[in-house]
Amino acid sequence: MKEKSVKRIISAIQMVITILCLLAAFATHNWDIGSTLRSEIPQGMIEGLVPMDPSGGDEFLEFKDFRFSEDGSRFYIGLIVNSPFNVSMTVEELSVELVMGSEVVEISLPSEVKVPNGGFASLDLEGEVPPTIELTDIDGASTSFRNMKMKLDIEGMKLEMVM
Amino acid sequence: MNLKKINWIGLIAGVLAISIPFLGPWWEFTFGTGAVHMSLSPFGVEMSMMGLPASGDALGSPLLSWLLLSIKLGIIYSGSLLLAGSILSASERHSSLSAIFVRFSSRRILWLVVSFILMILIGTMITNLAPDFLSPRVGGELPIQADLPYLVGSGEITAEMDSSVRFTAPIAMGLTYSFAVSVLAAALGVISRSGIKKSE
Repeated sequence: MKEKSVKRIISAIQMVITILCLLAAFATHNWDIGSTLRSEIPQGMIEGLVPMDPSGGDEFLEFKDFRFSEDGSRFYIGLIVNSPFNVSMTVEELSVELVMGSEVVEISLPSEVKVPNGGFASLDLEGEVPPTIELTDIDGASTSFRNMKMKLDIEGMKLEMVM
Repeated sequence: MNLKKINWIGLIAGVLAISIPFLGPWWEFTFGTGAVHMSLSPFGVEMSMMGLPASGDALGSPLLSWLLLSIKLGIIYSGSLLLAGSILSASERHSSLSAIFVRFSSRRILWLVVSFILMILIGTMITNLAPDFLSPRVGGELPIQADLPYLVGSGEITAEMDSSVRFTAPIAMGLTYSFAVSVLAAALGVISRSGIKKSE
């Protein structure tokens, strides 16, 4: 009889611990079932990952400049990449086809570029000027971009885009 | 009181059981190289996203946090009973009480370890099978494919949209030394039980 009572008591204590914890969960949330079951992700954490300033809407990629090497054999396109994340990211690859009249030239990033947390970095794409093209032939109206390929590394996550 | 009759295996298991809630996570999961890091044990969940910590109620519901606390208190309680039962086995007068305490508490850690492993295995299995299972039901191939290891190892999650955007993230998971201590505590707990039976 005594043994049975001890067994009941030690089992009951275990049950009481669980029940008290359940009651405490509801009591600390004003007995509201919804707020006890649901979690709230702190606003600070979301803002920490992605800046929430709607006015600070910089384009992800901005055109900076277009220039030629001194001997005219190569050209460079300067771009600015604005990181939308509050973590650093690396632009591993970036290439684009430049259509100049009837000629198509691929230009690319010579080496990967690191973009600081929520900041920006300059990307200098370079390509070879085809011998059939005269520098004077190149103007904004006859030049266009297509087939942009980009590969980003964000804390080990690889994002590849074709635009 | 005869010290030779102390259930030493039970005593060690009891001390380990009391300490395991404080030894840290049992299992760790990393998404990317550190984009998401999650540490899990039956007593708590710790997570960081992009280096920012997320803890407490943010990870699950407040109810879950309190349930995890109840598991922690329950294991400390079981460990205390195992410890008390193992020491009481040295006393002729309290040998029956000792047997009750050890019988009640000795398998608790084992069930906890088994439940924890099953929970992770089931979670991984669901994640791996979900794309294949759901694809015919949504009328096409799902853009997400998961290749997660079971418990320990590395894998990859891939998502593809319109063949113009492709996302790949490496996954790594592993068990910690705290888990090894818990397995040891579970094994010693079971062994201590058979010791009680023999001494009766």
